[in-house]
Amino acid sequence: MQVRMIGATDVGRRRKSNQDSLYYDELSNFGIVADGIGGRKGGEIASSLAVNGLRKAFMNSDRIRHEEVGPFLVSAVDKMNSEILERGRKEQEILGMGTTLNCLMFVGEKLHIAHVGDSRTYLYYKKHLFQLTLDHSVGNFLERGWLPKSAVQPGAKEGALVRALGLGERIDVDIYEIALKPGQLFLTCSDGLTGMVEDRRIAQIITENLDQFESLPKLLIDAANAAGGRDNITVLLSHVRG
Amino acid sequence: MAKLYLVRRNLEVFSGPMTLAEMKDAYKRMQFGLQDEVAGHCGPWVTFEQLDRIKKQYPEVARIVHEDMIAGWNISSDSEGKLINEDTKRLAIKSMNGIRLALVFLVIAVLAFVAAIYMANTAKNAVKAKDQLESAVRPQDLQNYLDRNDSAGFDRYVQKHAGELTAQVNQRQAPDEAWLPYLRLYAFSHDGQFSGLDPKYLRGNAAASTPVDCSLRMWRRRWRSSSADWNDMLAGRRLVRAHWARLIAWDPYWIKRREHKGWIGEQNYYVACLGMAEKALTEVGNDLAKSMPIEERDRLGYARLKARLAWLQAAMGTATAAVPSEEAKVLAADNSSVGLWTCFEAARDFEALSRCRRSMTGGSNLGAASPLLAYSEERYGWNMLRLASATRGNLPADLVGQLLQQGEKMNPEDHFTRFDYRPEARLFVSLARAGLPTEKAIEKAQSEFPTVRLSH
Repeated sequence: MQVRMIGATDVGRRRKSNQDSLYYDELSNFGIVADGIGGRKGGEIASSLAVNGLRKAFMNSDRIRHEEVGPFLVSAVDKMNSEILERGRKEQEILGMGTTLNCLMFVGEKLHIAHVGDSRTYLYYKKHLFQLTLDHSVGNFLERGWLPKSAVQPGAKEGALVRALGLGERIDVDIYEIALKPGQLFLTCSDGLTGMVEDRRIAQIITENLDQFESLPKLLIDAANAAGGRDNITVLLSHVRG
Repeated sequence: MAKLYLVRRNLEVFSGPMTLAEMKDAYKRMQFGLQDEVAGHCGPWVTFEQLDRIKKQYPEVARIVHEDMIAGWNISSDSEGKLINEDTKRLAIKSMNGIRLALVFLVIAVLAFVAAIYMANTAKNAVKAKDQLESAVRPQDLQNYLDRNDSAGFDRYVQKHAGELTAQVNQRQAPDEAWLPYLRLYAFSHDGQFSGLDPKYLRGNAAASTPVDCSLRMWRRRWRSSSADWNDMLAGRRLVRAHWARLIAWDPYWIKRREHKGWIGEQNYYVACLGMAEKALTEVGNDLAKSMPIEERDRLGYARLKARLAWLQAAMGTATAAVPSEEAKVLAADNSSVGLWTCFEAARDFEALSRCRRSMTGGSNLGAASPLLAYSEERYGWNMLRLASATRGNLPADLVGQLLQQGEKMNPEDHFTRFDYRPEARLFVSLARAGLPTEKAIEKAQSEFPTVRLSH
């Protein structure tokens, strides 16, 4: 399967700096989106540490077999989590920094996604849009009974993150797997897009502009900015071709 | 264009997108189960079991869930509307005056009822407040029940104070180690969960390679949704990346060598998880037997899975008796991947271990191209090391040579079960590469990894 990839990142209309990080390599079919949290400098450092660390781990790895992808992603994310914590301990002003992460690896006929936090990966197929990743937010965890109500601090927002790199020594990574079909389009993005543009509108933009694949990231970013652009916006699109 | 749906299995693997008809077909082919989730275009994920939510979000899916899926698992649904008898309806219209009179009496009765409830509640609250003042739950109380072997009393105590216990734990009013062993004991002697407690709390961080949720409910889901994959894993066609497949690949001796803090007696998370998995598999097997002949169910791999779980329980020293004879027969005849691993683990000397290995390359149904062949070689190596450390004497030179040769194939981290074999690898280095006597090699590796019982 051939996978075309294209991505873009934008500071948005309100923030002064871009704490999102993006990396993708079409030849290796590998892509990462990370959204930094915890102060201006800290967020930037955390997301770029995560993206660069994973990129290096990927580049330095031997050819990864299908069944090794999950363990590879888990241990690479685990290592990045330790590095972010370690860096925070060394530099007091960035202590407490963290980042979300969505990492895509296309291996053989499958896509593997490592997911932590509330950046998302969607599948678009034949005018249908499906959110693949589950946001690691207080609201979702309460709804699923994974978090007792008593453990949530009073006043905590539903969208507050339960999991992110840098939040604690232990990191639980969700690993998803989906078989590839020609025509599938995977959209990976930070919450700067999904917080501003509704899913149905995202689907509509893709449907109307699928023939201009190269300009799609910009069109989605423009839509987020037109809706207020309250956060940094990052979009990575991966199109599966026959 | 037909509406498409995506199915998410075990929160990990997606099937689809597919049409309704394809979904129905996929269900029949056991590609997913009722515990799995479905999503439509821009819609939320809803588990098939939640019929009311399915009806609300995806009414068109609800019909096939009701007709094909739930019927298949013999689950009843009470969400259908009640039928109204037409005669009763007509009669009711004729007696409207009677109804008005009855309404007056009804209002009086309701008022009396509310007053009675209010008074009863006031009295109950007073008793409750008194109870709360008097009840200060203490771990020692639970220990006392255990010391007296009074498991019924233990259960009653936990049930009575469940609210207070979860509050103490969740609000960190007591150190984790104070309550955790008792809550774990209670949870895993029932259904593997404790209402109001995060499953991760019950698991802890030490057993990070195991599923977070080892409750009976989750294991039922895992077994039901995976039955189509059992044979692929058992026959060595592929390593199925799922919790159930990792569970059957667990190395019981690796688990026995580890220290398990926060558990009572010989319990640990692996043992507890295995117990729930075994119980759930039996239930799922019984369900399957209702819809297909026993032989067909066993062809799915059920009997071999049961046998493997029985072996793991016996090897981890948790079963009340040795492997039951029925399961022992299945294990003896099994030359699949799981059969081979059991053969390695059951070997008491090098000769027996070698025989198992010879069957792997010769008589086993693991073909030369099986992805499980290399993995099974690794497992052979770890079992060789297990026997080497058990001899405690000096190893014969030919065995050292063999160990060295085998060591090249052993990865200190099991990429499949995610078990960390670094302490064992250290022992290997001291024993085979540095050529230390067994006793000394164990001592050396043990000093580096004091919590792992390498001589076990």
